[in-house]
Amino acid sequence: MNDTALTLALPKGRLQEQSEALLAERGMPIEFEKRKLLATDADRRLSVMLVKNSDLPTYVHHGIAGLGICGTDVIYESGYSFFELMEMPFGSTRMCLAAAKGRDHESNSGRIRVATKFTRFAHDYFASHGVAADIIRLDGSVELAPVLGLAPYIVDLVETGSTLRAHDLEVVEELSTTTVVLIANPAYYKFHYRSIDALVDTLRGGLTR
Amino acid sequence: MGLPARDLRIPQGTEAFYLEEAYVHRRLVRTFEDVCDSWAYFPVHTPVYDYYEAYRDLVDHEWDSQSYRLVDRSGELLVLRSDVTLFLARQMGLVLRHEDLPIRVAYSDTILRHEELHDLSKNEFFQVGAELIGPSGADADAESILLLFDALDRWGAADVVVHVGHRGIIGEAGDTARLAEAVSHRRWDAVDQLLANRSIEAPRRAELVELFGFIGTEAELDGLAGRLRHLTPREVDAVAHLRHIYRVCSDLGYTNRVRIDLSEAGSRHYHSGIVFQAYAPGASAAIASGGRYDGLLSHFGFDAPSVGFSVMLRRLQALLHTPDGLPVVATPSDADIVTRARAARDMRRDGKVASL
Repeated sequence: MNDTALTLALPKGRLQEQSEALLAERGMPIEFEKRKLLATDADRRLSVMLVKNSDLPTYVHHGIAGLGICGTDVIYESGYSFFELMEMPFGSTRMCLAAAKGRDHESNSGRIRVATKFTRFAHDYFASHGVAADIIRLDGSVELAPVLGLAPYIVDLVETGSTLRAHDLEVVEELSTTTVVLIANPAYYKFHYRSIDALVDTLRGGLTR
Repeated sequence: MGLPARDLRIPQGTEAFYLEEAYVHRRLVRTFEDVCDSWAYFPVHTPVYDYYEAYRDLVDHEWDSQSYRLVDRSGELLVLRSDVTLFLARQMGLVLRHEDLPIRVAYSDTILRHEELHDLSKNEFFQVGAELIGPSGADADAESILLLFDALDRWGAADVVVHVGHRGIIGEAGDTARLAEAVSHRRWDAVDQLLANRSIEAPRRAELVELFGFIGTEAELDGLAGRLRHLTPREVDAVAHLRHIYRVCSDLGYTNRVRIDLSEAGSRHYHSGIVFQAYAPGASAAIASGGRYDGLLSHFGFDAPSVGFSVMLRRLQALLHTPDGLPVVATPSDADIVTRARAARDMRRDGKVASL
């Protein structure tokens, strides 16, 4: 890694492509060699590492990467606290409660059973709204839970709704909006604030805050 | 056969370290103690545990959640030392008299804090620190920061920078824990909303958000302050206070290592004046923090202003490039123990480390 470059973690997958596209648009193209997870931009302003989306907050929290691009949903689940320097112009989506179409959404027992990847969010959301909820953790294909009878409700990210429709599910309630943000480890930001502020200015490049 | 799984466990919130690591640690502690002795900060030791009731009104949920509590044989609730500053304030409150002031004290103690099983990043096991009790004002504040710089230099941590803020500006804008937290986390939308909730007009809110977001030099602060039109006299005084501290540090050669940072708002409600934290390259959290807490000792029965800092020494040690581990050991080869002991004694007199 280049000692003078800022360290940035990108999440593998869809957000990686959008992040790289924005960096390239702002004059910092990143090219990863095949199977490599580390790269720098041509001007050596950034040292970039590719990590699993859900691991990204951990890398930034421990200062392995000083900066990261990450969804607010993933940050919330991590429980860690970061400086959120700017909202990225892509990737925003909705966190929704969903259930089988046409289902009576009233709970007979006063408790609801919810399957989700976002257990921390779900726990806090229902607790803050005075709803007793049994939370079941799943790590993927959450939409199967109502279909197979694990739980009548799910809490999940919904973009187009096509996955829900394919499983005969519908949105019961939109719980929150999630965005993609540039985060900084607070101590890393404090030490490198000038070059980080300059990077944010470059990334904003005409974007509104 | 390995050890049973239960014998491999070490409870979260404590640690053991050995040989080279312990040797380096002890040298770092000695260095700090030497620096403090030379600044006339003399040692104090705080108790390992104390009555929880004494601190109940001062602590927040975070302090509670990371502290270990236990019940003594008479049913009293005790708390293990998780932060030396509070334990020291209570001890000083018990023993100090006004004729003792000013008094300078220093400490080096283990602390016991809960750490999450999955998060070993904190490294909060050992604190060294110093407190100046009695004087108030910017010169006393500057002394505390200068002592920290001297210790950092002696540890070989000359690339650590110190960010200095002032709790007085938070206080003037409506001192709430939520506002201090929002400022500390640089959540400007939340800061603006909290200020709006206090019926602060938009032009003043905008200036306060800009001021809270400032990090930089004295000259840069002058440039900003010259444009601000809606500050109260107390806020102007706080800015002048920080300029003075910056000037003192700058005049003594620390220009590149001190920054005025109004987002340093302090995590404890008893902070009353300056607040500062030290940041090192490669560190995932501040390695030292300090500030002024003029009302803290009065909570424990003795009213005197105080300023001080503590260093998370294990966190700092992980970042230092200490050149050597254990020292070279000389071993006399004589067969007779008395002869070997005499030879070893001579070697030690010459400054060597000698083993029999």
